[in-house]
Amino acid sequence: MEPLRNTTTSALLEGLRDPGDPVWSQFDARLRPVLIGFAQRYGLSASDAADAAQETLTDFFVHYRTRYDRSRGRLRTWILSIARHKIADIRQARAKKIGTGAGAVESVPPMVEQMPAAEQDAEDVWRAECKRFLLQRAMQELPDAGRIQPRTIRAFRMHALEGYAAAQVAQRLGMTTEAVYMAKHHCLQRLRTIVAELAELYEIESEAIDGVIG
Amino acid sequence: MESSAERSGEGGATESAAAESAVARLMQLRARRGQHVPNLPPARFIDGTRMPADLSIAHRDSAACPTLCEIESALAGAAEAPNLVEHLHSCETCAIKADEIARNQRFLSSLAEEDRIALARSLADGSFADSLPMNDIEGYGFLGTVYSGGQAIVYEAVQRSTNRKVALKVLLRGEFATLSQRERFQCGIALAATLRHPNVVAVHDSGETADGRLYCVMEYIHGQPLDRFLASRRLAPGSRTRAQMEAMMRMFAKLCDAVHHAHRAGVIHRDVKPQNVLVDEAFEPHLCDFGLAVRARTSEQPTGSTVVAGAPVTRFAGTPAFTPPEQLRSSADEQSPVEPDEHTDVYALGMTLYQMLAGRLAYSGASSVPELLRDVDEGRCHPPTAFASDVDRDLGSIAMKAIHHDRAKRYASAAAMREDIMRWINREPVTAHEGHWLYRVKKWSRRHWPELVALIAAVVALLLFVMRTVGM
Repeated sequence: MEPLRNTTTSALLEGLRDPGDPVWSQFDARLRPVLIGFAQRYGLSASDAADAAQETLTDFFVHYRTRYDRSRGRLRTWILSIARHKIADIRQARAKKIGTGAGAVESVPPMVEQMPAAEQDAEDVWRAECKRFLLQRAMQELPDAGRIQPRTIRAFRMHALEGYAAAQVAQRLGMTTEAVYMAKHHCLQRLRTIVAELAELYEIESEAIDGVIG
Repeated sequence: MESSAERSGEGGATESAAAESAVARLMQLRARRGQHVPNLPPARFIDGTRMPADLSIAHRDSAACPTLCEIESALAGAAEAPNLVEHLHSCETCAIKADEIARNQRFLSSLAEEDRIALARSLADGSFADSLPMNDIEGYGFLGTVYSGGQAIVYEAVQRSTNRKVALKVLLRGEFATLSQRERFQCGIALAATLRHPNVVAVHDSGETADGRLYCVMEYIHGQPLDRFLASRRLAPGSRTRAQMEAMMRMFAKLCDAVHHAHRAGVIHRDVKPQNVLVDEAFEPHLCDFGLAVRARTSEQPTGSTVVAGAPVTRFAGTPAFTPPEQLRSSADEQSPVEPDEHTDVYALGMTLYQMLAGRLAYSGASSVPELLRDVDEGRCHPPTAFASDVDRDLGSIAMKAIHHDRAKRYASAAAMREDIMRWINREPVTAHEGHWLYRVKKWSRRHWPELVALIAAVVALLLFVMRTVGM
């Protein structure tokens, strides 16, 4: 389990001093995947999205003590505005580069293809990324958190996530059909619990995990 | 935020609420179906310690308790379960169990398709192979995955009876696919199966696996999507020769022909784009993925009548950058829908041509659909010649005409666009270029320069002869 896992994001922010300390690493680990996913939703390639995340985090660290006033707005709103500017800068730079004719056809970012339908949808995209991040984290913790047997996880994966019929999974894994349902609901319960705990720690708004915690 | 303890049903009151919510759900289902709704007394609950959530799922008090499968089916409305409501009122364990199952199902349905796939992969521990249908589809042997997308997976397979290689497309989610996803998949197969053209990927067979997955067997194309193909052949903008451009345009003309063939058969593709055009080693394009295709409205059908099987035409479908503005607007205005027609695909062909020529999308600065529409209205689209020095003006004009914001000013058909491409290849004047008479003379002279030189020489010789004769 990650160090400082049980520390809330606000507590981490209070402890931020320099980019080398573990608090910063923890903060970085919570935010970077969401930022990368967010940038990719805006049509950036994986490497450009990683750059956008890096620049956003750097900007955040440099300015959060002087420019971020907690009483004036949520942390997410501020980070989101930094991220959007960074993404726009990178896209503009890429468009210029491609415009010279130097870029290959393959390297053209999809741009509009993967755009959210409207400006205000950026918040929705952010929430979707937060949810995805939480789910991924929860999945990582699932086997250890519940001391769940590999076969149970396999049954859950095949039936609940991949859509195989319970009877077929049961036959393939040598279980009863009822055991497959049991595996599915046992894992889903654990996942919901982990997601809810993580959302609380990371201080992710409840609307981001709407439908997750029931 | 709600605590996990509360969610698990801590204390008698919460257990009571859990049971009531599960019972209420079932009562609603029965009432909706017009079935008898029993007037039950308030549920009987035992005050006591919290029942661990895990136990609540696994535990069965007696043989009378329903299985998880039965509860799940009843909650989903798939089973009648006439005695379940009564049972939940009397069995505390099952009431909690039903509530947990309802929450779990809600959690599952809140996951986007891509989330499910990502989560399945993260749990697969690198061995995603057992996700393959393996031998689930009788008569086919699987060789590997060609493409894995959000809606479907395409496998490379061998049809054992003929020993030919085929592409096998399987709709993801199986029984969990929504009705509209299944209808759209089947509609795409049905429409593509009506087409016989060397540049349209042929559909050989389709069906459903034992576990409810829809599949489609198609011609296997050994090639790459158009954009990747051009990049791999170093046909990126800026350094292409005339011969290379002509080869590209001959290939594009075949694509226009394939789209026109579909239109003549009454099929509108609605998702023409480089990713949906496979190009093989012989430079032959193959139009594929008819997943969003619709049947075109015939002149006999009144406007607004049902013209498609599957996808409703008033809802946006396709890729925004390749979708004409009238379709994008139509999706936002359900009162006056614009039905997709030939112009829809002509626009997408134009966008595809634009990307082939310029190496970028026509409105690449837009970051959302409203921005895209604004850029279209304001004409913020430079011709491909602005981005690629190897593109001549006529070719750029063809692309610009095909993507004109006013659909009346686009090519009337994919065939008309193809003809203009062929004119460019033959160095004839293109209709897209509304040029001066000098343009036509220039084009003629370039095409007939030997005759022109001979004519000029003859005229000069004649003049000299006349002058000499008169002078003498």
